[in-house]
Amino acid sequence: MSLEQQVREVLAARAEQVDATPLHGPSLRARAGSARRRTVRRGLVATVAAVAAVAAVLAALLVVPAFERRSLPPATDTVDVWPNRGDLAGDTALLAAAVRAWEAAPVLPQELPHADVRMLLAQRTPYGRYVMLTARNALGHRRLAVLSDDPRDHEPYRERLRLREERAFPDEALLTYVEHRGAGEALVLAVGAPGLTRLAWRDRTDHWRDLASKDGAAAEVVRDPTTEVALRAYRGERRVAQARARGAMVLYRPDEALVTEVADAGPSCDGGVCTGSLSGSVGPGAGLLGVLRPEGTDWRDMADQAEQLWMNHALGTTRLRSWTSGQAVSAMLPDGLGVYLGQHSVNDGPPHLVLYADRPEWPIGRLYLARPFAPSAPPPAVSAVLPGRAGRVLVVFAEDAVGIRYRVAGGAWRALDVNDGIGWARVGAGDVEVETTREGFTVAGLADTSAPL
Amino acid sequence: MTTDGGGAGEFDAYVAARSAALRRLATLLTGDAGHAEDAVQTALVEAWRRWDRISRLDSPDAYVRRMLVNAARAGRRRHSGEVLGARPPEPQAAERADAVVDRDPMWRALRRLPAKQRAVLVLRFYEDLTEAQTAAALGCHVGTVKRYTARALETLRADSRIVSARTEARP
Repeated sequence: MSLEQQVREVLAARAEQVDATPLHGPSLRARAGSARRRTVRRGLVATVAAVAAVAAVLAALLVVPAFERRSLPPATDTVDVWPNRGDLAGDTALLAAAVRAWEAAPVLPQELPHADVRMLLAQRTPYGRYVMLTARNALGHRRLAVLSDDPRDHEPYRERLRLREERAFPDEALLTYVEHRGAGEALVLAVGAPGLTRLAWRDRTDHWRDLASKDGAAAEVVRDPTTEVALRAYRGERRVAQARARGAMVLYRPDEALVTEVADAGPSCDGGVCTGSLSGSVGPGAGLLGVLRPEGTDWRDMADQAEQLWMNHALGTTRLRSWTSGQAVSAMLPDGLGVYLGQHSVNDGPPHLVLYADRPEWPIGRLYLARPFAPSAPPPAVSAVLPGRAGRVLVVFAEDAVGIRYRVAGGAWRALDVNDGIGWARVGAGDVEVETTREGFTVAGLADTSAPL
Repeated sequence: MTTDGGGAGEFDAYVAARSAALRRLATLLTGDAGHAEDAVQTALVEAWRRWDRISRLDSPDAYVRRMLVNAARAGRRRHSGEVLGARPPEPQAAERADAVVDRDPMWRALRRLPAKQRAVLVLRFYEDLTEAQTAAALGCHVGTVKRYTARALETLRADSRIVSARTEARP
């Protein structure tokens, strides 16, 4: 395809996404009328206005040095004296939890520790408690972070704060955050200098709508937003700031310490710990991909975190061009141990199986297995030994009919019940072996991923 | 100046028929839906003030399109002044975020082009205007259109990030 043709197609595709609602002619005519009247009036009093303007400027410069600025200064200039706002502003436990969650998130090690951490907004919303923090990182740069929990998450993860966004502190007057939540809703956070009297938002439409704000801050769910949300701040009738915000995605940085890659090879045992991915032949009708559900998983927080961590791990410093997130399965095991297995790929690379595990007391889960596979030869099963709160937990993803058994430290073989594609068992110390009892279907080896923890 | 009801009806019909297309064009010109909305409204408000003349033209579209291009340029300047002291954020995070929101590398490359070069490509390859029509819409010479077109395509061609890139939808 020629470059010109590519340009044509991209422009046409973009144009298709534009809101095609026709504008309202009478409204435009009405606006033209008022604009014309203003023009006429300006013409009549132009000379007087010019003289008055010069006088006003002189007065402002010579008589009123503290003349109020037309626009708010960037937040960087004043944020040090901003109060903490929001209905949870006095919740010191929430602040402490937010600070911990930010510190524990996989930011670049050289950016830690954070200093001068300050809470700018703490607000209860229909989507959970949201906290906006600012701090200076170890490199001296001011950062802005948004964290929240989610009452719709699986128990016991509902009150765990999670880093939603982390970025350089913007050199703008309004600090904004917009999170599109689906179903035509978005959560809008906006914080400006104290004393603002009104905050308003709009999307692609021309209708500016007020946000319910208090002392220059707002946290509100708005209806029917498009991808772009613009915000304005007013002091009295004067507009003093404008900002645009986009949907956000947490930008975890690559941190290899959180990722355990398991070699795509046979098992290797050393010192009682076996490593290596499962391998074997896939019998008729069997195979791991039969376990994964085309519609993915309803545990969105788990899937999102797995995807984000995987993408950053896979990308490194490479730019993201495209990605796919495919079939997946997840489950809550005893002690709140959450497990997720899904297919992901980035930049048209091969699909990878991503195994991710999480515990409520962790600030973020761990990516345990990220191995590529050929779609024509998917692995038959995946197993791992994960660190549960009360000890090691063997987890096997396989088709129910495969028939999995395991033994620990050379002991007796025990059958492992696999339901809906996932089987688990608490296992003690010692080598863990897993195999299938189904004829013609071989599973050997084990990825013991408990070692890094 | 337009005041009669017949002209108003004609203008309203024109707005109803063409405003969506103008909005699409403005979005491609500005790369921003909000700015595009402002530009379209500015152009149409101005068009109504001159509707008695515009409506008598063989091609009102061409005239309104030129007004829209000008409004998009002016709006870009005005809006850029509203973002107070905008400073590029730290590159890695910003690029990654942008990549997530706008995953199409070609579109991102188009947005990075200088405004005039992007306008030339939009008018030539989206509106399918001739070089002469593009020059008329932009108020420049045909030679300028040719030069901008070549430069813009050269820039895109040199952008290795968009070569063979493909954007896949999330399932």
